[in-house]
Amino acid sequence: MILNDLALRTVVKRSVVAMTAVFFVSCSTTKPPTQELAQTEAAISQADQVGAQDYAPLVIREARKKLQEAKKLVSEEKYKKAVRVAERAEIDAQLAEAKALSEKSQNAVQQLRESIRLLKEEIERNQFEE
Amino acid sequence: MKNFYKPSYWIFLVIVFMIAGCASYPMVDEAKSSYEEAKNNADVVSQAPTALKEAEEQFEIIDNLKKNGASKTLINHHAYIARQKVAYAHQMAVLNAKQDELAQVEQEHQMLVAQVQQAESRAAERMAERARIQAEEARQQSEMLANKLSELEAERTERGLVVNLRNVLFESGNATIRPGAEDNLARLSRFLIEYPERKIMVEGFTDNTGSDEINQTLSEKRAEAVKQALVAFGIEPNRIMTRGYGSQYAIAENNSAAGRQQNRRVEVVISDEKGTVAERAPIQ
Repeated sequence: MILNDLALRTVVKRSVVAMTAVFFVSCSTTKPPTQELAQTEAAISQADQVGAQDYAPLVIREARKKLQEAKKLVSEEKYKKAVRVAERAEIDAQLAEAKALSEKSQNAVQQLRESIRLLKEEIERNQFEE
Repeated sequence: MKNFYKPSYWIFLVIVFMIAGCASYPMVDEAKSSYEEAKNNADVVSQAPTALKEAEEQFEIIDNLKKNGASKTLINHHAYIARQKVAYAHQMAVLNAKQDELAQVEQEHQMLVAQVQQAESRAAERMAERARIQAEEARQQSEMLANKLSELEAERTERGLVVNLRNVLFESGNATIRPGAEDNLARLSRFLIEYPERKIMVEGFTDNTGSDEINQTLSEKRAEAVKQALVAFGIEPNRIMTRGYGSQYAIAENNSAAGRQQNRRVEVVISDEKGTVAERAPIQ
């Protein structure tokens, strides 16, 4: 583990190169993540369209909250963090959409079952009359 | 290995172990266990393979991040994504099951609706048939009634059906029915027996011989005589009303014996189905 001067110098050189690379990489992400935000917004409005507000209010609320947070981070130019928050908001919205759809299906099943019960009663009555 | 004995080396090692030990990621563990659970759920695996795969990829990312000593925040971010992907996969499985159930229930529902509609149309047909039969019966009955009435030689007037019992004849000043009226009266009583809802008003008249008082009484007695004859045929007395009008409402001239004979008469007004008979309007 003892480093001689040469080795130390190599390490330093390499570190400088690496750090420069990192610097440029981070510089290349200084654009606001408009596409990610748009994607998240689309996911939220898609969830809204299938009634997430009524059928999965908590999850969609969570998605909205995160989207607001992401926008705030964008305004603070914290783009990397904004992207991550937007990603979390997007998956929340997708979950809300799926949840709303399955809740709606469940409701539809229940309504039909009730209707079937009434129809069966009616059929029984009719048979009685015939 | 010289520094094996240096305290600084030991301190370094302790710190490394402490960091490794402290670096537990409850969110990752939680996500991982929900992922493992989902992977063992055949419905989830078959209904949401993509979401599961995406969750798995998050764990790969997490492993790499851990190796590279990435921040806890970043690791937790991916743990969150993984957990939500798993929840999404679950939800998709539920959704799919519900949609299958819905399709099945819809089919059953449609079948029952069709069944009810059929039953309804059958009922409507039966009702129409019943109405047709009733109409036919009513038509036959009214035809029968018309036949009976023409047998009675009833005339349709504004007061209803009026039967002039032409064969019921009286001697002058007398309320006894002369022989030969039996057929006429029997026919009327048969009609009354057949149509029990009908009532009759029997109206007696005289010629103009004698005083009005005598003729009034005589006309009433003639009506009463017909009533008694019908009662003798079995008609309930309360179905027969009587009126006497003396020599009023003459139907022939009183200046001949034949005319007077025609005026000494009894008319019968047949009620409607409800049993009401219109009274004769007084002479102006």
